[in-house]
Amino acid sequence: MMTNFEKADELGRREFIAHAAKACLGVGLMPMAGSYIHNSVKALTPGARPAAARHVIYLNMGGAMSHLDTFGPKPNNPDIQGPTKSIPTSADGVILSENLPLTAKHMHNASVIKTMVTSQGAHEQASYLMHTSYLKRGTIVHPTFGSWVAKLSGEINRTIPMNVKIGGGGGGAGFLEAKYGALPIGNPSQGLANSKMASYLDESKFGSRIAMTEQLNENFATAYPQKQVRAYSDLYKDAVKLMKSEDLNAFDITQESESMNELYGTTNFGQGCLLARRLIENKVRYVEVTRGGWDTHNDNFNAVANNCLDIDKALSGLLLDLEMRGLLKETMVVLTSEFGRTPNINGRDGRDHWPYCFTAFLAGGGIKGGVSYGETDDQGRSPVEGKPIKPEDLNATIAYNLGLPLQDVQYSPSGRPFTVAHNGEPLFDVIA
Amino acid sequence: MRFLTPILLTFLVLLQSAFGLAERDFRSKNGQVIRGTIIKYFEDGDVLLKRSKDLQMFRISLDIFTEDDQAFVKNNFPPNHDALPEFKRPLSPQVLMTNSRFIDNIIETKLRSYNQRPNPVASDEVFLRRAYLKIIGRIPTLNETKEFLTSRDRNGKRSKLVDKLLNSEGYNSHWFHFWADILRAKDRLGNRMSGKPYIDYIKNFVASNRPYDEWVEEMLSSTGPMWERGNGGVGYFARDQGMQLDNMSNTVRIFLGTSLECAQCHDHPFDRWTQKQFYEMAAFTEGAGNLRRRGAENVNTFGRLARQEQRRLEQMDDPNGARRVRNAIQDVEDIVRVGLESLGKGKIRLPNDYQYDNANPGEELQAKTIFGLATELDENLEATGSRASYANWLASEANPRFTAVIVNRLWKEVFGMALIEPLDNMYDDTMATHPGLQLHLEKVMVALNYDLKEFLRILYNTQAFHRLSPTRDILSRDAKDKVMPPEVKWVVSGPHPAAPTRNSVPYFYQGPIMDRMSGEQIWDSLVTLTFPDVDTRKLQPRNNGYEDYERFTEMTGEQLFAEVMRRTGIDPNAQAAMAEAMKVEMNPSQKRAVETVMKYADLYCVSCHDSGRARGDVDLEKYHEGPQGLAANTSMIKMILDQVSKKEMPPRNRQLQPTDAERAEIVKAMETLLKDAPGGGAAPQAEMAMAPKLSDPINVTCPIKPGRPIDPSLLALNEDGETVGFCCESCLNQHNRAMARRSSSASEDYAISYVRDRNSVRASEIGSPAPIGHLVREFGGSDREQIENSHKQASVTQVLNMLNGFVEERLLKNKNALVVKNVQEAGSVQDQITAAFMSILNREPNSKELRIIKDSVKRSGDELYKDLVWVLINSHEFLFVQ
Repeated sequence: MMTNFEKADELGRREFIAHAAKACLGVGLMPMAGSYIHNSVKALTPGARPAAARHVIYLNMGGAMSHLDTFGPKPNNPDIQGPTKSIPTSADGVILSENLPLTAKHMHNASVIKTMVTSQGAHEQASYLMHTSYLKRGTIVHPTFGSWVAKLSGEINRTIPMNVKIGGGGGGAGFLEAKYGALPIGNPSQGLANSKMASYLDESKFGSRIAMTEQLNENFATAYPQKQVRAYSDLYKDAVKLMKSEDLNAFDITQESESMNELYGTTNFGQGCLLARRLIENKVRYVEVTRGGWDTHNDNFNAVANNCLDIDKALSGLLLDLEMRGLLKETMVVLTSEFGRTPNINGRDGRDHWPYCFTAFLAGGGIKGGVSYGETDDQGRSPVEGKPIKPEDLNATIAYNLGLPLQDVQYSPSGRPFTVAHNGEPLFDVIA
Repeated sequence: MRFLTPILLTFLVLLQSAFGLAERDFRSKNGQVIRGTIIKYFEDGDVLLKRSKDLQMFRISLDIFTEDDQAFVKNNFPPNHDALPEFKRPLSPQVLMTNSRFIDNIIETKLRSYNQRPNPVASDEVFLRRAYLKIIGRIPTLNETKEFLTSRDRNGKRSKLVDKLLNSEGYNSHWFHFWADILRAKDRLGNRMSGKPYIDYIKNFVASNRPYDEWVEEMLSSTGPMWERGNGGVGYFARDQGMQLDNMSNTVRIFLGTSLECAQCHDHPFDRWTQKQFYEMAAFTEGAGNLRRRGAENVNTFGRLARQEQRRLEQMDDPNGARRVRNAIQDVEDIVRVGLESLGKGKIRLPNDYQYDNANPGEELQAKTIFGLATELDENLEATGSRASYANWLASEANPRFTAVIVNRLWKEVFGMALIEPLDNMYDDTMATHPGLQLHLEKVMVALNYDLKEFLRILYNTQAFHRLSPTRDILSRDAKDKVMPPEVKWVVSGPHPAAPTRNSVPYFYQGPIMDRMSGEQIWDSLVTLTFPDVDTRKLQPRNNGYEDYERFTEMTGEQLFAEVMRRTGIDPNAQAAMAEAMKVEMNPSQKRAVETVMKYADLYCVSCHDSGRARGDVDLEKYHEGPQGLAANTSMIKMILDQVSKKEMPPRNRQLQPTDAERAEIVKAMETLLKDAPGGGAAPQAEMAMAPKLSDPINVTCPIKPGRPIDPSLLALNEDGETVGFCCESCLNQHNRAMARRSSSASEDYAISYVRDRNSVRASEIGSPAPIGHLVREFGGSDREQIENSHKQASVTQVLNMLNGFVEERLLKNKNALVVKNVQEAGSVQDQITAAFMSILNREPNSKELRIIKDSVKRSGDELYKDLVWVLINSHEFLFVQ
């Protein structure tokens, strides 16, 4: 079945608007601002906005990255800034903390949103909100953003998954079908585990085993016509297809040259970014790379500097590599966190949780270069200039750039309506 | 009369304290007012009300009161739980059957009222597999399958099987996951904080089957050092170190099924809880976020001495030494200082940005419970602490939600869906699907004195548990408006793994829901197919923090310091002795021995134990410069000898390992050194009693291959106290089991054997959580980060693992794997097929299946067993618990 969005190309403009309006009515049950509907319709007007990016590499800083010591420094206020200094970047008027010297050289290709805010101050809930655009509820599990991408892109018959998550858990499809969930990769350098058949087997032997299994499964599948059983029938087919596919090479970063390791760094995160680039080259739509260790309640400044060694190298390497391969214009790179950290430095030289203000870094496809959106007060406590940007808005921005239909309604099993970025509005100030 | 008065007074005081705050004006719908206290809330909806003015008792229907008053009673009083007399445990067969049938009656009545019928009773084969997987978390072995299916005891065999499984070691393994997933028990609770005491505490609860209410109360009120034996309950708070507010809302969610977390930052949007109430609750546990105890005198002395030494080394420009001392200090402090000192202050301050009118920002609040009978802080708060009152209030039959949650948790585990879904997000108007059943289960739980195993025994003996699973998808309860009776107020449930499709059916417990095996069940079943003694194989425990704790607390500060210096190997005295030793000439045999050892050390050891890295504070490289140092260092010699002979070093996961001959050469050289080492001649006799000269170098009785050479690291004592050697771990285990059977007078029919291979033990042994990428995790085993975070969603990586992972690598390559042997030894092709079916799917193949397999495996030849095992494990039927 095609989504409204997919039909868009075939439909005339007027018909399309009618469709969009109908879809809006569907979501209209949910609280949302009137202006949002207007924006979204604008966003979907065909011709006005083809997809600016095809891929997303989402770098998730788990544990909440200190915005003050990375993308939102306050050089004029040493009381809250502590020992962290600021440096100029390749974009006029944009400064970053000294922890990100390599990334600073790419700032002319990137935007920073300084006015991110979230309503959740606990890791689990905030991370959930960032990834799904919805508050965590006891009553439903929402799909993660990558699962929405997989679902809405409407591609079928692929051997390579659309949604991959490197490091960390989660990435589940929520109430969508499990196949849209992220393919988890624990260790980037080991690639996709168990993807080769045992050495003593050959294609025909393996094939006859599979055939035998399928025959034996018939009885069971007839006796239990259930979704969970069918899911495994589908997945066995997918897995066998994947094993035979050339695409498997996409997961093998050992095929990369040594200079790539130097560029990205040999840390787990660096290797994860390298794998992400390889996957993007092989048409994976959404890759998330997680790096934890940001929950710096203690010894914030050393810990952040240490973490930044790793991410600065990997992020700048990734941007450079994508640019050189001509992939940057169709790939969005996003780096953000679930919330920020307190401007006040606590008694253990640490910073605590701060949901009232944090930062997001965006680069690549469809993103303006050299933009620093919004400004916070002297102490980096809360936004004073520009709109406060909620997780839903950030996700709407990414979805908009990918050309995803913001108001395409997917229903949960109970018939509750949900959309890719909830009621978020794209931030056009950072969109090229 | 004089004798009676004090008792009466006490009674009154008790009443006063327990029900004191419940006195209020009750208004009837027609405007009458009675001031009084509720004494009892009967299940038929009546209350026993004591009128305050004359203490007269009335039994009145709750219906006559205003809605407010009705809500007050319903929210704060559990229905009359003590209607059943306490059951004698273990339950007699009659009581067991009466209770199980009672439950069946309720279920069947409900089904009838919706024109539905219960499912037919499942076959023995289906029941057997279901019982094993649900009670002990793994499939039965071939022998266990045969034993049950061939038993002629038609009437009693199912009940007997349930009894057997409930009392087996496998039960402990399976139900550990149940609690570890709820309690988020992890091996590491922080950078330097071990979670072992917490994990052991949970395992101990499951194994000992202590009353649940007693356990919860003990855990929530536990204080003191975490490494003190039996005090692992402190780990419950260590799990949320520094996050005492979150800990409190987790507690209320886990044990009272109530979601408070919203109210941490603002009034709950959908429920009646206010932020102020949240803080009043949190006041009980104030102080529980701090897991560092003040040091005892000896620890302080030790710290002073050790830091002096650290500074001395720093000044002497020995950063390596200083680092080792610092680490050693932390190692000791991690054992003796981790724990909970605060008993709960009973007071807390509101945050400075508090936004509501009912209190001021930063105002100090007194602890106050959110529902149930108000609990009062002890007058002697300093000594008893507020957490004790909190634990007592929470884990009590008088708390209306405490029992409701636990019966639903167990019911859900048995049938696949709780009577209240989700069971940890109850609202005031939440109703169970079967309110009568819910009430009955609560009463049974109370009558059983919260004996969870006996409760489960009742559920497993119901007909409902013995019936076939519904074959179609279960209708999600979200869809209640279409099919559900109007009087049931459902709390909307999340997407059930079996989300609705067009043909789904509503679920009234017509039989347990079919579900995919959990990650742990799959792992445990695969290990069952590989090793015969899977339930009693445990991982060799490593360091023993409990013993260290005991020793450290008894030592003086000076002794502690000496101990730590000994561990770092840089005791100033030892250095002096070493310098002395350097002057001593070595004899030729010592020289040769050191040379031999160093030759191999360069090959296998110094990649970690060089002077720079010095892993484990062992630096072998330096002995190139001063070989006398090794010859003089008795403890080093002993350590190397011990670890090399036991094959602990190089670590097993390293690829580069010395051959057995090389190992023997090292051991011989080290024994030479030990003989001539200072004070080494006599001491090893005592310590190394386990290394005798073995007269018989081969094991003639080995059942696997008689005549194999003896492995010098596998030793045990026989009945006469003599040391005997073995060729392999399984022979050693067999011997140990036999010895244990002989020595234990009790009728213990299993003994634990210890192994080191993490791939040969059940999921409860491999670590909590299982490592990322492990089969358990791929199949949805919890990461132990969120409450009940395990899942059963399907993914490609799971299938890849089944196709090319464990089954090929660990099962089919292993000639000794149980299922491989059983199939290979079965004889004819048909017998082999049957053996494979009986081992893996626990039933005989039907004629169609026989034909399919016979047709396809003609070409298999010798590899028939591989095809059979692989195909059946990869069949859908294997993955699901029917």
